[in-house]
Amino acid sequence: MNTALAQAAVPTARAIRWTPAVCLAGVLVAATVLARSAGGPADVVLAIAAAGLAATVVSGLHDPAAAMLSAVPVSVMQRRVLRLALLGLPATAVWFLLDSLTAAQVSGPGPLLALTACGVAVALWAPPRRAVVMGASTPVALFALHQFLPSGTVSDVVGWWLTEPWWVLAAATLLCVAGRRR
Amino acid sequence: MSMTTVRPATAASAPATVTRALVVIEARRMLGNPVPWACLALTIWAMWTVTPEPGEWPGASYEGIIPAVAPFLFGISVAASLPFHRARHDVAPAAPVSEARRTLARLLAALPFVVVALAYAVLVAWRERDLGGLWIGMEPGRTTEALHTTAELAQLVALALVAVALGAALGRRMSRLVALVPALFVLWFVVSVYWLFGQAALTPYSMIQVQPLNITVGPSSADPLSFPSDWLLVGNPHTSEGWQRQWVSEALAWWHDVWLLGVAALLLGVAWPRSGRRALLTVGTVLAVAGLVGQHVVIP
Amino acid sequence: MSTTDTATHTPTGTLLSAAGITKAFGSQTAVDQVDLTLGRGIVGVLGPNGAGKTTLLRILATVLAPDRGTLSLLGLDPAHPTARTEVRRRLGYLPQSPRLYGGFTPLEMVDYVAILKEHTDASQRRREAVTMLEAVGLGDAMHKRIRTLSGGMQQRVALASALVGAPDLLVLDEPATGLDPEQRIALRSVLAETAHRGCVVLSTHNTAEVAALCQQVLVMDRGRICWSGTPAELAGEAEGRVWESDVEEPTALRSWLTGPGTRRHVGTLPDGAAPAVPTVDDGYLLVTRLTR
Repeated sequence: MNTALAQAAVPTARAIRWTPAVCLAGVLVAATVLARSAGGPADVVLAIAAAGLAATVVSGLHDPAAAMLSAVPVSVMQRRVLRLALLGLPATAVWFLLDSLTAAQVSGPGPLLALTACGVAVALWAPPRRAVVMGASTPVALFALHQFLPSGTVSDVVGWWLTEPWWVLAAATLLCVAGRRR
Repeated sequence: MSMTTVRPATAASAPATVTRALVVIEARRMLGNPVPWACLALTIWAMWTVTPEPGEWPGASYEGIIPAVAPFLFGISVAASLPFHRARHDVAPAAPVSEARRTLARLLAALPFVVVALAYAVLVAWRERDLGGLWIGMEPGRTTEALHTTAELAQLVALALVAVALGAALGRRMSRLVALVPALFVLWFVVSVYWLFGQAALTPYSMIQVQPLNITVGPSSADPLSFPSDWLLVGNPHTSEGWQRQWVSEALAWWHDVWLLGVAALLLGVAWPRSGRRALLTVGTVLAVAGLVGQHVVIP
Repeated sequence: MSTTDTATHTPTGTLLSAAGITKAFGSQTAVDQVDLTLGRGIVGVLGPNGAGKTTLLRILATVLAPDRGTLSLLGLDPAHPTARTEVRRRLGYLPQSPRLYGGFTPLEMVDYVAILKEHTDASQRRREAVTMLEAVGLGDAMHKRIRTLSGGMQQRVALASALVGAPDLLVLDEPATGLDPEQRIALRSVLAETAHRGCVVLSTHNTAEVAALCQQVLVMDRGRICWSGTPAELAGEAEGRVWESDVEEPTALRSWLTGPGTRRHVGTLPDGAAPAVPTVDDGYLLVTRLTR
């Protein structure tokens, strides 16, 4: 089975649409370079990058041939993990690149991983027809709510992905594990 | 099974009626999408919470109000992208209603969002007056009664047009709907970080342009009273580059609006069918270049 | 219980059995108390739109779990994850309107599905992919991009993907969609070959397809199997209950215009009418009407 997954990596990577992800990474790098040259606080740019990259990784779960592949022995969860790994690794690399370009206080890939895990958890538990769209929208929604809600308990809880990313990652991962058969 | 068919009597002679019917169908679907309304609520909330506070960066409240529109723009783009993405699949390609007319109908259906953006701009203007004005500058060059100019508020309407055009372009050209979410999010929220475009050379290219522009006018040792009395100033401890003039220009904002209209036309050109695309791209290029040149000329 | 003939590795006996399987989506019951026992051969599932054919096939393909009832596929219970994986190793499934990766070639697509069916020997897998594509008549097009192929050719790529790995259980949801008559005949040969070693379950709206291909027919309506038997038996249901005339017959259960302009009717033969030779179509229409 692991051999099958390893052999499936290259064709799966080919099945993923990389152009939007590459363009998005380009925009983020440009924004970070601008932030660096402007000398402003780049934390918000990194937070946008974390949410954007997380949404991109989660959107990679969309598989046009899912129906065709629904009855193969390599389970849908294994195929999802493969897609997440294929997209997640370059996304993390891009995040580190952006982080290295700034002197922001938000350091480490915690927020990116936490948002990605939240998106995947929503994608697993949401109704199948809109699962991936809802999952990809989750990092975006969490960022926007954190950014615009007035400070207080709700805002603090919504912002845990930024302040307590590893706990959020753990909780979302548990949700993913619980929903692995869905 | 028996069928009775009726041949449409007026369709060929009344294209406006057909377009109107298409607009109604598309508008009903687009306006029924909860995303732009949820985003509008967030935008209004964010705008409402901007109030001048003692000790703030001079101009912080003035600068903070305009970027609050970003979530609504994102929502507009999402809603506008859906019918254009749907149009990627041919529906009745041999029907007499041309693709250009269908595209026009989709765009007209999105116009209510532009009207809402206009209403939002009016709300912003009312809110600023309700607050008694916003603060710009520090003593001795300071005002507590600053209001956004008409041109700056018109930017919100122009941005709504750009949002519709961006949604249309990405919806039409991107093969996977799900990839639109991160793309639109990053584009709209990155441009909402207005200080990225704060340098005079970059300001004309910004999408969400936030004034005032800060122009260095003298060293920190300079006497601020020696500057013209109508200048709004910012200096130590807020800056490390000496005295700066906080410059608000309605002319700059109008030229920026022209630039935004050009960008909207260019994006519409991307979404438009082959016939008529060239005209849109030409108009868009002319407007965009004129807007850029105008801004460069106006900025001191 | 299924057994395997050790000499030929061909499963014998019952390959698929279902007892009381039920599946509902909200308040809509798509499959209602279905009982089935199938062995080797080709089984056609007929039924009107919304009858529950696709849901039943998705359950048989282990894609959907039934809400109630017991299911045994190739002697294994697919409710258990390990057994389900084992079933899937020996299963081929063609969904209704399958979507493929447009940027792949047919060879790459079939090879990819073979990998996911855990065929890890690359050269053997490649050979099998080529064989399957040649079997469905895509030998010349296997290196073209899928997005450049016609709808019928794309359907055949999906069919080759379902066939890869010599499955003992083949579940096909409307496999002949988009195929021209020549391709349909080729499909029959491919399926007949598969049916020698295992069970093929296919859904279709084409009764002629069923008559030509299937040893057994299931007619579904409103989630239930309302009739089962051979195609000849289905046609026989209309024996003495089908006739033709030039006028409407108010007593007929169903009437329709035929090509030459006469009307064909199924129902109780009126006095004086001459019975026509029944077809599977007649039997199907009669059965679905009588069960309502």
